[in-house]
Amino acid sequence: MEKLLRVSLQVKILGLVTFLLLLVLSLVTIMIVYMESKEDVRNSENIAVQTAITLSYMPAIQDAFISGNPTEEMNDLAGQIMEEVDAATIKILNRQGEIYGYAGDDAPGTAVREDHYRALVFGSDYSTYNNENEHDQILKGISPIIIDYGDYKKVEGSVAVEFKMKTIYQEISNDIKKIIAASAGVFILGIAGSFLLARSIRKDTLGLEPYDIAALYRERNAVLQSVKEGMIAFDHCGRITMANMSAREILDLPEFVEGRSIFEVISSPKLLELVNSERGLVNKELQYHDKTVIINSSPILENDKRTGTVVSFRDKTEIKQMIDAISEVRQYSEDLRAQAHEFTSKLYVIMGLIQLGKYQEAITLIQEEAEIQGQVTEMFFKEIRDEKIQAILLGKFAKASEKKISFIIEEGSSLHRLPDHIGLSPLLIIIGNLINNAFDAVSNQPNKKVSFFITDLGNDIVFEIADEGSGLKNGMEEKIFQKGFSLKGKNRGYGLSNVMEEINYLNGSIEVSSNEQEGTIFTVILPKISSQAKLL
Amino acid sequence: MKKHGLIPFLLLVLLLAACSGNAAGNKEYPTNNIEIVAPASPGGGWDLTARSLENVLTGQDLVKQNINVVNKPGGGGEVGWQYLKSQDSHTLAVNSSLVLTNNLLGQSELTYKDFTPIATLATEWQALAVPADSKFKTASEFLEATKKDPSSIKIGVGPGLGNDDHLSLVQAASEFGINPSELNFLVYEGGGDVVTALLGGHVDAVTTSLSEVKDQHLAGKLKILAVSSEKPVKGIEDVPTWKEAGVDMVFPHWRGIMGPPDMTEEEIAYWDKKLSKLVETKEWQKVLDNNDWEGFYKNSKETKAFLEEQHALYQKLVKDSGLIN
Repeated sequence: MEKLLRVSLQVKILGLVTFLLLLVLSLVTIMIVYMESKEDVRNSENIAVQTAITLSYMPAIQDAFISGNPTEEMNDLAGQIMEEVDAATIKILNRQGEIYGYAGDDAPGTAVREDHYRALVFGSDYSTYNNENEHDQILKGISPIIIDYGDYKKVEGSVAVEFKMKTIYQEISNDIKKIIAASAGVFILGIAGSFLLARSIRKDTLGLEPYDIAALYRERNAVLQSVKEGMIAFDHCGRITMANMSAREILDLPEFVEGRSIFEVISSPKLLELVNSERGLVNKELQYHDKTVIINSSPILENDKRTGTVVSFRDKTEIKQMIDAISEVRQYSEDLRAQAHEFTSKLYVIMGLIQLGKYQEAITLIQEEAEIQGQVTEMFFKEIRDEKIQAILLGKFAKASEKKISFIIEEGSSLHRLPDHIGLSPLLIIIGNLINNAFDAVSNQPNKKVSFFITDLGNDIVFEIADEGSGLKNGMEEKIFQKGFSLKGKNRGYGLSNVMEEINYLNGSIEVSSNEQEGTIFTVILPKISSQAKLL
Repeated sequence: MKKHGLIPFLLLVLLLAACSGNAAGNKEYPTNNIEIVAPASPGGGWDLTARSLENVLTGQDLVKQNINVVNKPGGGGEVGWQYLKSQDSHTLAVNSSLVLTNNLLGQSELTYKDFTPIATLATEWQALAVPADSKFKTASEFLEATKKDPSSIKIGVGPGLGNDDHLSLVQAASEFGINPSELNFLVYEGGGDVVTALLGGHVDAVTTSLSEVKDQHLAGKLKILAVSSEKPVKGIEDVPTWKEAGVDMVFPHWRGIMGPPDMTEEEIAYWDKKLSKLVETKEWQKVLDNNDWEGFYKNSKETKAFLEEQHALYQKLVKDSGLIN
C-alpha cells in the first residue's frame, strides 16, 4: 500500500485531476443531457400542441368543416405547416373520427379515436403519445376544431399534429454529441493543465520528488547535528531557521531556538553585530561569556540579495589548550637540550683544566659536579619515583643552571608513582608554568633561588613552589588566575589560568601566599583519587 | 462531519423556531383583515358565495375582523387562485370542481393539492331538461334514443365544455354505455342562453343547473327529466333522480372555500369552528333557500377526502371514458 502511494508527483497530480475532472464532467454532462433532452421533448410537445391549435383556427380548415366538404386548400395548408414545423404527419378528423384532411408522406391510414376523446368531448388541447410501436413512437399534439355558429359553438372535429420521436431523439443525440465533445475538450485541457503544473512544480524542486526532498532534509539535519562546529542559520529578518547541537552548547542557547529571533537568544551585542554584518567573516575571534569563540559567517544570497546568513562557531579555548600543551612539550625538550648543552660546556671546562695541567681544579670541579649530580640523582631516584615528575624536574634543573638560578628540591620531598588519572600533560602545565613563573620572578634578583617541594603523604599530593622574588602586591592574588591577566605584558596571561583549569579538572586546589620583597609560595593540592573514582 | 451535520440541524431549529414563533405570536388568528377571493366577476355563483359568506360571518358576529370580498376574474378561476397561492392565511378563495377539472383538462397547472382545503359549503344539483312538448318523457327514453343515433340529438350546454353541467351528462351517458365523444353538444354563452335555445326549439335537450330550469319546469314551459341529487329535490319531488331513472350517479355541483398552501393546524381549526357555526345559522339557511342550494357542509378534513374522491372521479371521466364502448 505504501509503495503504491509512493508515486511521483506528476502521477499524483495527474491522477487526482483526472479523477476530479471525470467526476465533475460526467456529472455535469449527465445533468445537462438529462435536462436538455427533457427540455427538447417538452418543447416538441409544446410545438405539437401549439401547431394543432393554430391549425384548428385557420379559416381554410374552419371553412372546410362549415361547408361539410374536405377541400384541397385545407390539405395544402396542412402540408405547408407540416413542412414548417418538421412534423411527420398532420391529420384532421371529423366528429366520427374519420380522416377529413391529411398531410404527410405515408398513406393516411386510420386515426386512433381514443387519442381525440378529450378534444372531441371537452374541447381540450393536449399532447399524447402513441406507444403501440416501440420503434416508432409518435408524439401527437391534439386540438379540437370548434366552429362558431353564431348562437352556439360546436366541436366539429380535431387536428392531430404528429411527430416521430425518432426524429426528436435524433436531434437530442446530436446535441448530446456536441456536449460530450465540449466536455472532452475541457477534460483534455484539464489534463494538459495538470501536466504543466506537475512539470512546473518539478522544476521548482530541481526535479526532486517530495520524498527525495524529505530525505535530503533529514540528511542535512543529521549532518549538521553531528558536526562539532556550531552552526546557526537565520533569515534576513533574524529569525533562526536552524541551529545545531554544537551551536547550542557553545553559545549556551536554550533547547528550541528555531523560529525565534536571533536578537532574542543571543545577548552579546558584539556578537550580534558581527553575526549581522553584511559581508562574510573569516576566523574572527571574539570573547563570548567565558569563552573565546572563532566565528565564520557567510551570507545566503539570492539574486544578489541577502536572504539569510549562516554562521559557524568554534570554541577557541579548546584550541588554545592544545597549543599550550604543545608548547609545554616543546619547552620540555628544550629544557633537556639545555641540560645536554650544560654538560657539554662543563666537559669542555674540565678538558681545558686538564690540558692546562690544573688537575686539582679539574678534580675539584668533577667532585663538585658529581656531588650535585649525586644529590639530585639520589633525591630523584630514591625519593621522587615518578618518571613524569622526574623528567619535568630534570628539564627544569637544566634550565635553572643555564639561567644561573639555584633550583633546589627541598629535603623531605618524596613521591611514589602518581596515580594513572594524572597525566603528563596536566603536570607539565601545572608544574612547568609555576616553575617558569618562579624563574621569571627571580631572574632580576641578586639571590636567584627557587625551591620545589613535593609529598604524597596522606590522601593528597602536595607540591610547593617557592621563589624569593619581589612577591605580589596586595590584592593581586585573586587576579593572577584570571584569563588574560599578566604582569609580563600584553597577549599573555594564559599560564596561570590554564594551571587553574587543569587543577580544577583534577579536583585539586591552589593557594598563593606572597609577601612583598620576600617572595611567593604556590601550594598545589591534588587528590590521589580521581573524581570519578570517588563517585564510585 | 460532525461540524457539517450541525448546520442543517441549526437551520431546522431556526425554521422550527420561526414557525412556532409565528404560531405563538398568532395565537389570536386572525390578526388582520380577512380577504375572500371570488375568482369571477361580480354577479356569478362564486361571487354570490363569497358575498354571502361575508354577510353571514360579519352579520352574525362570527368573525371580529373586517372581511373584504375581492373579485379576480379570468381563466375559469385560474387568476384568482394563482393570486391566492401567494397570499398568507388571511386570504381565502371560493372554489368549485373547476379547481380539479382545469388541471385535468390541461387548462391549468394548479391542482387542488396546491391549496389548503377549508370547507365545502353548499351544492347545487344538475338537471337534464327537454321542451315541454318533447317526445322524450323520461330520462331513459332520452338516453336510449341518444344511444341509437347520437348525432341526431342536439344538446345545449354553456358556457363551455368541461364544466359540471357538461360533465354531469357526460357521466350519465358513459354510465349508460354511450361514447361521450359521439354526443352532439352545442355550446352556448351562458346558462340563460341555453334555456333560451331550449325554449326556442334550437336544441333537443339541455344540461344545466337546477336553478336555471326549476321555475320554468314548475311553470310547465319545459320538463326536467332527471336531477343529479341523491334524493328528490324539495318542490319538484315528481322529478326523478338519475338513480331513480336507472343511472347510478350522484353529481353535486359543489362550492367550497380554500386557503393558501401550508396553513397551520390552528388556522384550520379556527375556520372549522367558525364555518360549522355559520352553516347552523338561519341567515345561511336563507341564503341556501334563496339560491336553490343545498347545505353540503364538510369541514377541512372531510373536504380533503372529498376532493381526493372527486379528483379520482373526474380523472376517470376525463381520461378514461374514451375507452368505454
